[in-house]
Amino acid sequence: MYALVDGNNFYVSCERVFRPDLNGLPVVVLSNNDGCAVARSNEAKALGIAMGAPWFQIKHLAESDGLVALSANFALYGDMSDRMMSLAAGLGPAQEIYSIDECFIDLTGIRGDLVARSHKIRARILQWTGIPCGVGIGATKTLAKLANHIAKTADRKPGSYPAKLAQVCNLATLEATERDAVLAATAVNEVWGVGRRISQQLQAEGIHTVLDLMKLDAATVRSKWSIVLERTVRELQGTPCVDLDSTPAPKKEIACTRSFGNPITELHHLTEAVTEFATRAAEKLRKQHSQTAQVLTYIRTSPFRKDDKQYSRSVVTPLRRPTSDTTAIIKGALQGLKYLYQPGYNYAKAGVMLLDLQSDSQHQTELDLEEGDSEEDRTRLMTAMDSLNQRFGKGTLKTASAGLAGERRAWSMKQLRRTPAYTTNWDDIPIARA
Amino acid sequence: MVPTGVVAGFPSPAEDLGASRIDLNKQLVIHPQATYVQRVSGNSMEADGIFHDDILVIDKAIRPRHNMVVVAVVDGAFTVKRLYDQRGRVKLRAANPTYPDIVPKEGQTLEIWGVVTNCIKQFPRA
Repeated sequence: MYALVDGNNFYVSCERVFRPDLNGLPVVVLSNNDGCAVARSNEAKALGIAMGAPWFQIKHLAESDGLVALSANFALYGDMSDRMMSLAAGLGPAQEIYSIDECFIDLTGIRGDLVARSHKIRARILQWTGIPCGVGIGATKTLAKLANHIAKTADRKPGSYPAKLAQVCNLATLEATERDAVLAATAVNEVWGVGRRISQQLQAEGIHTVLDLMKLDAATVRSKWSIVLERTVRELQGTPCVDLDSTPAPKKEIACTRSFGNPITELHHLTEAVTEFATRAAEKLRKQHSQTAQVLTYIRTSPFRKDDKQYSRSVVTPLRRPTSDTTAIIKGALQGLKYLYQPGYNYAKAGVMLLDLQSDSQHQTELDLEEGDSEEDRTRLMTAMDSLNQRFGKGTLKTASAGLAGERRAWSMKQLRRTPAYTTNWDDIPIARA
Repeated sequence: MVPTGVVAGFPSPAEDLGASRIDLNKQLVIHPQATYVQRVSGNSMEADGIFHDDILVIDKAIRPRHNMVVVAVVDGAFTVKRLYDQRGRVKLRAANPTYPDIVPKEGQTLEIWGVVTNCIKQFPRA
């Protein structure tokens, strides 16, 4: 069994923890350079603002409907994510952090009422961090993700699903007829991995709901569509096809995290691990033709080794400009690691997450005042590196992570509406009136 | 026994105690994921030792109870006060009696953001 824990409107929820005056107002968080809405409060959704809506198209709503727009504050989101994830980890023995606001939990071996347990963890995350979550539980990751969608929708739109499924939904405990009714009430494009193109094709064939898709014959799906969709159908039918770690690339962030076989104490070992994670994340990034502008690094001890001193921290390092260059990404990740590392702990897990992604086709040109390779040369180098690694195996060509030279470069981005780094910068902490 | 490199002289009496240096994080932070800091602005809590510009350590995991110092949300802003919660009556009181109590209006609930566990005073260093 798997659970998916997902923070509701995560960026907006993070902002509201420190800006309670924003509760009840329509709020959006804008992407890199204040371009478009990447998170929306329920009130903003109710105004009809779509995900990814360009700011200039919704700007007028500030005047007419009191819409509040904020620049993305990744230092804040990274820290709040870290708090939420380490609490969510208590749900089961293994955790895969899938993106900044969602993680899968392996529930193997957990006894007792999973729904009650999930409600408890959800309540703790809400109280300790102020972030509301939805929890979906199912026999496969695809079902857990679907259950999460149902849990959130039932909470946000009363009447859309049975009220008892709000906030926490376990598809595995529903009666067959009740489960079928729920799946029949859910559109096929809500299924994990079913994109717009596939869902159009499916609807043309009369497959409109999740129930329709689930009832298809897996072998037929394979011959008619693809092996990927076949896997999705099998997962919907309850056969796990996707393990906890090997997942398709997420939409908003790319994460590469791993638990160590043995606890690590030395900085140079962590440096190797983080270099490896950053390298793999950069590969995934190029595969989906994206660039990243911010790199989150985290290290943590094991909450299950109760006798160990506990440590869990993350830091977001902004990059000088959006890039998909392994070297630049490693450099950012290692800067973060150097800042985080404290001797004397048994580290059990580390990870790198690439945030603030954008397509590599949109370029921001700038006057290059640096010595070194031109951007085209770097791109060709990275392409060559990827194809060699693909051909001769992962890690054939690596970046030497010895000399981390250079001062941190000035970073400037158009972020006119950014809130302070309330939890990561001593000079930015909130004010309490007395 | 592992030799410690001291070849002569009296053995250190601290050697066997396994003592480690005091860690402020351990003393001030009970629930790391639930701990936040805020800076004080104003004078209403001076009688409780909380002065303008002090740093509050706030734990959101602790259940607020009568007489605890808390950070509450009042009119959308953070406010530090003492919680009065007795016989079904809930209000916020300043330590300085010249400030009026903050009483929730009919049908309003008092939103307690977190419990203040420590107050840090930083002296000028230059």
